[in-house]
Amino acid sequence: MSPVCRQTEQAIEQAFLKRDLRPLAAVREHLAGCDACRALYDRAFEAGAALGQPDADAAGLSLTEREMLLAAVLPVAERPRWVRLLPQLSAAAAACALIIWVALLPPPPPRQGLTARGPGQAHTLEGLGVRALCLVRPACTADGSAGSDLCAAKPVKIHSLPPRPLAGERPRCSRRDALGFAYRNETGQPWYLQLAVVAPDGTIELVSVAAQPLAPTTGDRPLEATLELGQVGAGRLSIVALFSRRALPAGAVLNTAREMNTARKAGTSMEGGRILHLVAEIGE
Amino acid sequence: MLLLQDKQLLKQFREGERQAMATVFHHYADPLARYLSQGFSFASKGRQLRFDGLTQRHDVHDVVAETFRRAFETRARLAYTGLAPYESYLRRIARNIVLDQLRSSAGQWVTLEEDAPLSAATPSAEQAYQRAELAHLLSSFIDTLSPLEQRFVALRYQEQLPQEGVASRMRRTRRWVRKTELSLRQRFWDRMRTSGYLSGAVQSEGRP
Repeated sequence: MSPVCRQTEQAIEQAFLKRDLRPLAAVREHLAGCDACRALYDRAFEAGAALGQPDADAAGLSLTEREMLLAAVLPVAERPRWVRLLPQLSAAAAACALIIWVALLPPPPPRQGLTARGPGQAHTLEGLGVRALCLVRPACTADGSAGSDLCAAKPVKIHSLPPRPLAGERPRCSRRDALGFAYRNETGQPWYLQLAVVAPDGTIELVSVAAQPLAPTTGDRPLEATLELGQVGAGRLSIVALFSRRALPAGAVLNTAREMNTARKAGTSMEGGRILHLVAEIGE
Repeated sequence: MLLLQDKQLLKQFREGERQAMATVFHHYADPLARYLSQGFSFASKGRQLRFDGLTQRHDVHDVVAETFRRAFETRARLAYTGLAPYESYLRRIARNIVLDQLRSSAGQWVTLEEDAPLSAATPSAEQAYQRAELAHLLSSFIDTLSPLEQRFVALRYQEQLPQEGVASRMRRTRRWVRKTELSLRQRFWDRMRTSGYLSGAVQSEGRP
């Protein structure tokens, strides 16, 4: 077997295992002309489609094949959304906890905008800010289900992630936790806020798209949107916040998140808006 | 008929909402794949010809993905007004892709015949042997699974539930479902490899 065939086989294996066609892009030309590789592809996916449905019509597409193709068609990861309001917590409990936390925070220094953490220099944007909060779940293994009523009844601790953790707080979240957000708009103007995250594996997901502009605030105010970290791999999580004068389409937000993550900028201005980029570390 | 009947979905789809696009994809991808496998007739330079259909899964995947890529472009979405069946619209795009590839590949992977009846549905001896081999492989693999994993296979692959649906039915987290699925597919891949099912594809290439 030639090295290219071996590489193609590995790409087919990845596509089969993870429903991800991206590795095949690098060997696309070879695959088109290699009968053996194409036969391998066909056999693997025919078997995958027959798994559980051995008598199904081979001409059709199984659900897993459709999921794989959909991810290729809509390049931003089209796995079912793992960004949701915390179903395990009642909305009221979460909101109360966040408000209490915000009330306990010392007021920010005057005119200090959000300083987003990045590998380069910090970036200050006056009046507008987003903070990442770690909603620390209690250990809850009563029935192996983190979403049980038993878990929901236990209190959640809220930690501020970098750049402004309080003394004694953990500097990072774990995959058992959830990520919350607070925003600040001290400009006196209404702004729309869109939030997207780039997971450690590169998948990008919208967290929050504002249908209405955010009212001016004094200090931080919690957002309802939260991000379950259970489906996010450990590592670097990019959080991109776009403040704009008008609501932005989802595609524009996702593209911006991708670009900011690639460029690793801490923040920047755009026409009619501002972009902030934070980084959170997710541990196992 | 999905987009003809559901005006709200049509609106969301035209606006590019991802969930709506995913719904449209899942609804139309399977019939489109079958259409591509069955083939179609077309006219070329005054002759009525027939494309016998894509026989390889890779080609079906390729054309289905490319069809939806084109159909999901902003301009194409906005151009679709919901007055004509979307399936026909997709078929037109798919036909053009197939015919373009046919022209560029000089018939390497498609078969053209003068308009003729559909190919017999009876599988060839090779296909029948392969199916029997696959059936044996599947049953022997399923036998190795725990009752919990067999339940997973039934929900995910027989009932065709998305991962969230499986998680809900099995009262597990989505993360557990993802890990279980990856583990199952890895073991299935390994079994295909060790049983010779996959290598059979490679070895058969050089045969006359």
